[in-house]
Amino acid sequence: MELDQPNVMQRIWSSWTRFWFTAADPTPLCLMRIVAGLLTLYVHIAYSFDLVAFFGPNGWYDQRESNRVRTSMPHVRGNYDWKLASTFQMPQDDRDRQILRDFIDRVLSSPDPDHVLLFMHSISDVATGDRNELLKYVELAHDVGEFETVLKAFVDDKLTLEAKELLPKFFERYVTPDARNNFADSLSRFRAVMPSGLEDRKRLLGLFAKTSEVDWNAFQMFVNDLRKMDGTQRTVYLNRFADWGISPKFVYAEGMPTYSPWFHTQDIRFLWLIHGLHLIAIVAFTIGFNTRVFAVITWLVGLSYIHRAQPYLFGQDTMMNLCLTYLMLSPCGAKWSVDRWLARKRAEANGTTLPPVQPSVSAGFVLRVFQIQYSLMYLSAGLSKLKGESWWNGTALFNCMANPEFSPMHVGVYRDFLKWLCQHRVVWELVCTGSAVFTLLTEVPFPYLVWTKMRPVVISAALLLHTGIAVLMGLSVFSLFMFALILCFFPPDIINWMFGSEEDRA
Amino acid sequence: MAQATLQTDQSFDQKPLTWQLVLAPTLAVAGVAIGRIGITETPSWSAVAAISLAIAGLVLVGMMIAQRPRNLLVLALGAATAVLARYSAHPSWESVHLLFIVMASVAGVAIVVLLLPRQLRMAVISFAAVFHFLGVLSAITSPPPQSWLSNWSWVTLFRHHLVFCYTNNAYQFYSPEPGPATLLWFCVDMKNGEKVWYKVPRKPETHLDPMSVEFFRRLSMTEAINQNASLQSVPADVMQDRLQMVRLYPILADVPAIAQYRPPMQHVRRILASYVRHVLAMPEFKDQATNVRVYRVQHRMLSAQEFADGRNPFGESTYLPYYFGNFDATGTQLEPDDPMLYWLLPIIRKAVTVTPMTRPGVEAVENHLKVHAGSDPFEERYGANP
Repeated sequence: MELDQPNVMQRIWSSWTRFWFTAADPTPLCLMRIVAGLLTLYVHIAYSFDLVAFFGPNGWYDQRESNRVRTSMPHVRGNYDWKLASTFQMPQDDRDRQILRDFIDRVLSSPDPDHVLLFMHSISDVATGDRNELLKYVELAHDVGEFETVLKAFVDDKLTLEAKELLPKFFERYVTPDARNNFADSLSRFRAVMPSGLEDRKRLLGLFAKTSEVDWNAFQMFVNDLRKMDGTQRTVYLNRFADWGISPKFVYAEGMPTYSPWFHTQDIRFLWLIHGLHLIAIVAFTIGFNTRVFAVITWLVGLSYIHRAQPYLFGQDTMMNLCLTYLMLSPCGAKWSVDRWLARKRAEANGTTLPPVQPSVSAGFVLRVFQIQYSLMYLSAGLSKLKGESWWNGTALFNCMANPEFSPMHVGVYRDFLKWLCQHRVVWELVCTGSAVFTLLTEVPFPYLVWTKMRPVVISAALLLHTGIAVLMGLSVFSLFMFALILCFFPPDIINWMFGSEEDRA
Repeated sequence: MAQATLQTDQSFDQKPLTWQLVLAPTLAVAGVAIGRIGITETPSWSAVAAISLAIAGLVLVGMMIAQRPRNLLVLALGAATAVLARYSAHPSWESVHLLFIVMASVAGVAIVVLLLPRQLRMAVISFAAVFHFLGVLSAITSPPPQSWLSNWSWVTLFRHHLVFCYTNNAYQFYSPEPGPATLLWFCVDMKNGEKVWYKVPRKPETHLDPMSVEFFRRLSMTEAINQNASLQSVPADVMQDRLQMVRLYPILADVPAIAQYRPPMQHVRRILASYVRHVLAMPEFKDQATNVRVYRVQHRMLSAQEFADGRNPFGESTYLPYYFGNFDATGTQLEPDDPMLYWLLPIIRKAVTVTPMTRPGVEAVENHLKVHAGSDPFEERYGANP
């Protein structure tokens, strides 16, 4: 008998397959198709108002910039050891960057770059005050002749007491004639690769003065890396560095694997043609015509706008894409679709009756995918809010309600309500704190409670939350997509009872 | 318990597919032929015809796959048609090449999965689900502070899948704190000496569509500019330059200096340059404008106390404009050394004696943005467009 008992692994596998691969009624998915399809259609019709301004070659985020991001955006991966914790950072300012690049070019084309670099290294470990005093001295040394004269006098130890006092403290470190000579030689070479203009010199040495010892050493390594390259390679390398502010040496991969005809379309007529075809595809998906094919096409249509329009996206696009991605894998055209209607007509023509829609494994699998995704979203949204002070002191909701760009602040009644609320502190506290607590209590425990008998309660809370977001923040399409997604938790019987025919209910 | 099997879900008429089997690859081959014969450096009508034929072939083969998802021959045909489609596309359409390669790969993987025994097939699909959700988890945990593991797994394992499918969101909505909205105001200098304000977003655009989708897109667009370089304090030389302008444009004493200086990150400057190019290419400005001054404006929310006092949420002093530079039509910054660059130009509310004649909501202000731009941004609220 014991041999027949499944072992632990078999039991786990059995539970796993029961969870993921149990056949389920596709009704919720079919309703999601219709709701998500209509919303997707709306979103894309709305694009028509801004099609050229958003997706044209000279749109807000133009093709030049979007293609640059697509092809060259760098990705940096963490190291496998503890080395190189600090890397050289290119300055943020364009002019500073150019001055630094010119300096590097001068160092690398000087007769003995090592000498300059060694000198820079030698002053990296001094107290910042001393180093910066020395850098300031170089900055102000505009007259090269005079600078060299002072250095020569220093080497020969012929400086007057007054002149010595004017020198940075750093000079005092070099006592022997040889040390003085080497230091003066290095300083002279360092001065020679400085920008000739006082302003540029000031900016460059200002950058150096701000550089920590670790970054200073990282800079040495950076210049050493450049030495191994020829002129062209160096230019490409520095341009890439300047473009993204990340040393190409640390870039693991470049570019974004994205697709869109809008990356390439130059002709506005094609823009409209493609957009029109896209709308037709979405309509076909929504009505369930050749659903399997048009579900994939609609997903690709959605992606094509999303990939091209990164700066214009907001939460609604994420939710739309989730709907389309998972629905594409499901039998979402099994009912309430043109496919079903055509199949019935064909059956009638053959003198048979179409059997009722059967539960399917793929419907069960996709419903589970939707449910896990929804739970993860709530968990992330809830936990990340716990980092924010306003979610603890209860002001978060007020900050949303009082945002004049998001909320319906232009509506007089709404403004009067806010004013009234603010004039009644206790009511304000109850409403705002209560709403913050309600939001957290809906989002954080959702992934745990939704699998229990509490499911109707947490789903009702989620519906209420998204209704609030739609009303108070104006994000109605976002909320409607959330409603579409939450259908994955609805029992098919309820959906059939609400929307189905007699046959469906039976 | 329902049987755990992987079966097809829809029962289609199983008619022979002879003509489709021939037509789909024929269309794709014709696409390749036209694409290759009529190839030009920049895509022409022949490139469009070529890819249209290939896509028609793909749709046809897609319909066949939908009817016979377990038919290995049809799937192989799908993979082959996608490969052909890739070669029908113009060489400069690399992103479209990627799409066809993904399609061919999916069909190829489907063939392999179908060849596996049932249990192994379920294991492979389970692995795919686990991989996908681990990827989603890496995206969720990617905003700072980020763990090494999140970064490593996202970059190394999940990046391609998550970015292509756009399942890369961290879902951290309104957290850690809901903040104020960012707006962009462009003050365009016209050749005739006029100054015209163009503001994004503008409330009338809400009416573009009843559910305000396009309005929120513009808010996202301006929010994309709201990414600042991380600074511990204002650099000494920047502050020194700024102090020279303090008589004209004061530094607010009750706000930390670092909050009044907001240099954007490098990539943001390029996005801004793109926005500038777009604005100056608009019909109302094209060839008529010389340059444009850009202000990134934070529209702060009133506090509860201010609301209770009846303050206007759209009052002039609720706008915090930061000067982002003077640009030409190519998006080039004309005065990179301007000491006011990236500094707040305060609009300071002044105490006003309320009389019965005082109009509600109107406030007296010291508007330094107006001084800087040489034009009052609140005079013509919606700029050149209706």
